[in-house]
Amino acid sequence: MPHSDQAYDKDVPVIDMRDISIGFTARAGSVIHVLKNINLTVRRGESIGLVGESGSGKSTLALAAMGYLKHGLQLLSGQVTFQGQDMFSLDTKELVAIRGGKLGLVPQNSGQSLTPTLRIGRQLEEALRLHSGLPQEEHRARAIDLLDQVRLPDPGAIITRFPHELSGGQQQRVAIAMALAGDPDALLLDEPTTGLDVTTQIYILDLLSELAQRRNMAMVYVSHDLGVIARVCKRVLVMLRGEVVNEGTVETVLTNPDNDYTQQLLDAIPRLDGPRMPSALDGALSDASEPRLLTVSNLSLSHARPALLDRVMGRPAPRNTVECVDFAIRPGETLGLVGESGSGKSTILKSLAGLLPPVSGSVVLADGTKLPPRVRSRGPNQLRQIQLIFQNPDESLNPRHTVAQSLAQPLMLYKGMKGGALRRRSIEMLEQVRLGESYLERLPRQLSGGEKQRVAIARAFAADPDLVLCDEITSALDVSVQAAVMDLMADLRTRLGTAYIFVSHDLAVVRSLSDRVAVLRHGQICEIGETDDVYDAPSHPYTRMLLDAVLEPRPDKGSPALNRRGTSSDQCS
Amino acid sequence: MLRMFLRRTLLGLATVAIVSVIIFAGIELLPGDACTAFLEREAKGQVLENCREELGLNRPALTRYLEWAGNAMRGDFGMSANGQESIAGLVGARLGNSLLLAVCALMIGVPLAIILGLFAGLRRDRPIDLIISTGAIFAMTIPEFVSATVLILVFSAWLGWLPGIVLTAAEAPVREFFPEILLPMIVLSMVMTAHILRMVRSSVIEVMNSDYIQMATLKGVGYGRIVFLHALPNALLPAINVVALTIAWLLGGVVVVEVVFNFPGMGRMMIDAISDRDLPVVQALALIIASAYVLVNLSADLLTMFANPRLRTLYTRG
Repeated sequence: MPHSDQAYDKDVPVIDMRDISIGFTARAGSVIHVLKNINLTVRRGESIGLVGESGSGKSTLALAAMGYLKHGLQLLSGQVTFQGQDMFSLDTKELVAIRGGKLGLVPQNSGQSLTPTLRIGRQLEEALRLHSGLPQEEHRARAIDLLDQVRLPDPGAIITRFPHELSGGQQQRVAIAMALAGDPDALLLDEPTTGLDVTTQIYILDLLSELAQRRNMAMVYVSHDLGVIARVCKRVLVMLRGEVVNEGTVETVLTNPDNDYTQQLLDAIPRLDGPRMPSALDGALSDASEPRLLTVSNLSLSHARPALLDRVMGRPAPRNTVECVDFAIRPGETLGLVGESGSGKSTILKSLAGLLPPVSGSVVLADGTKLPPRVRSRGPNQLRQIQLIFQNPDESLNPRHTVAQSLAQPLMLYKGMKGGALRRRSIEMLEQVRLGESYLERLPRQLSGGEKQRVAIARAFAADPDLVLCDEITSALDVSVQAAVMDLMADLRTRLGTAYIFVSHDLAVVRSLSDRVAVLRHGQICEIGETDDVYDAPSHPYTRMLLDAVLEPRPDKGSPALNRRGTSSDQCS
Repeated sequence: MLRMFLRRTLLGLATVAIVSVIIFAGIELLPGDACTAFLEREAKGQVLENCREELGLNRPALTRYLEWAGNAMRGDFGMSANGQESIAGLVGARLGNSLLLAVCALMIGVPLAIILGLFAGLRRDRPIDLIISTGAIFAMTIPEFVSATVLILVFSAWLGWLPGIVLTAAEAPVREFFPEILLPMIVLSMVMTAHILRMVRSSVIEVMNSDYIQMATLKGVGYGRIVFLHALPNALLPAINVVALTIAWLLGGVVVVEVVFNFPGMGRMMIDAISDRDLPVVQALALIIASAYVLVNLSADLLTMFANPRLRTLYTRG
């Protein structure tokens, strides 16, 4: 068995994956494919992009290159070789020497990929100790040097920090530094710049390209963002549901995609200046004279019940999170709620969902009845009318319930369905969110983030609601999934005439979906109006400030000049 | 950090103060008082009046509460109703014995729980996990008096290896409790090991599935180092509070075990005091046990805060 430090031929591929199929065994005993017959060859100095939505199997493929499969997955067929070694037949010791050394990984979720109880310095030095061959006393200096290479401000201070003390962008750069510590011949990058602001992203991409060139390093670049791929890769594979649907040089795939799906992917990213998504039909706009679905008047909400100690000491109660808010929703209308974090957007949703009784104010339904403040005092029909979709599908789906069980609850509760009708309706619901029958028996951990959120959406729509409250439903998702989820929401609205209240801090997302927008600041609405009016001619200075702070994901649109040190937007205060 | 510490300590003291009022009120509501208990049949007419006059029991409840609470703060719990001995002296020795038993049980139970929990978590759903987890459920569900009796039967009556009950006097020095203390210690550590083990196991499973363990694996970190450096410190954080609850339980609530083994600790003293209607002693013990609960939980919260970088830096670095 040849070892990694042995000389190898230049033309031999660094990573060679042949006829890879990976899958898992579902509860029913049938094997479900995550990847089907994939071939991938990467040579020295070559950069290959893997593009696709989450759930397309691109991350699984990248991890398989390291001989690693997530819990429950199995290699059904095929062979993975790295520098001539079969990764799935190596023993632990040989694997450990390659992983993080000659074959580095920048993980998808760097915030959760750093051990919370270890300081950054220790984690970097660990990588150096395992793979660099440097003497112990040089580790610290080298760690600082690596952090400096990825353009982290004040690396000397960073190494004494714990992961949670860094911002998302800083964590991402630490992860890149860690991958470079082993002096890799090949680097697998799983959405490496997703958490970064635009200027840092460009810097990091250029840095990676330069490193790859200088060190003749092979790179496999996993991303949903074709723009990112175009900047660093020569060749690209477009993946859909575990299969490669389009393959070729970046130029041909981007300029002349011979596949509908690739074209869709190109169109998916929302832009701040594009007024709305093509799928959001203008006909969905409701007439002003139409009856109101829901009228909120004078709503004040407070989160913090005064602490016992404060009440004993007679300190004044904290101020309300939301103060005297008025708005109304028409049937089928989408109202966007935007504002900084802490402005009370989600608090309003919580209260409408009956989870937080208001301090004062009322919510009146279409038929003139008052909506009871607490969820337990609401009747079944009132409960059915209003459904909530949470930000994080990981936490809102019961990990021990299959998709079928999750969907069955609203169907049984509100529709009294059972047996065959229940199953048929569940499949219908899944098809509406573009998942199929094969998903029924899966558990949440067998789904990707985007698929989970779709199940959560299907669950909300299973109740056949009049109003769906969406609490940052796309912010835990990557951009391609976000586009797909928004597209889905727009589609469901057109077909079912459901009204949404859409909470997001992402102004572009809100614009693409909303008919009207309310801008919240410190718990008060400072501007509300038709989406285009608010975006094109904001009347409140705060709205203008919010709009100015948005970074456009395009280099030509006046992105701030690159500065050598981190930008203010990803500093941890 | 300091602010946090002071806040929690203040809250703890407030809890103890409220508990002391409840205890005092509870004892006050019971029919009879120290004099009726002491005089028994002669407790009537002038004799009773004289006794109450002498002990100051005729004064208003508030005055007596303040006096009791004030003295208790200085460690003076007054005299027991029966033997006219200082309660502080009586309790002191018993408290020491309970602590001794608790410390011995902890020294066995906690490391054992961590090791077994770790094993079970790492070998999830394999035979060793099934054996450990099932064993833990048994240890938790079998009542202590049953396991105590079985152990006495096996190790004392049949094998004759260990003494079955404790005959040493409450005031005896520590070394005289060995080997008598071994059986009660084993019974206690069985139950607490089971509780802590289950917590450690589930937390190990959760941590081993996390992204950072996957990352460490793909960084080429060896398995042993992953387990002990990356996983275990994170997995133990949630266990700290379970350990604290167990310690509090050991200090106050091990009545059954102490009675079965005739161990002269706080639990048995409490039972004796109740059956003797020795109200001042009951009152003092209740307060001490409550304070121990508060103290142990406070320490656990502070320790969790200190061991978890997320919480620690929240209070130190603003």
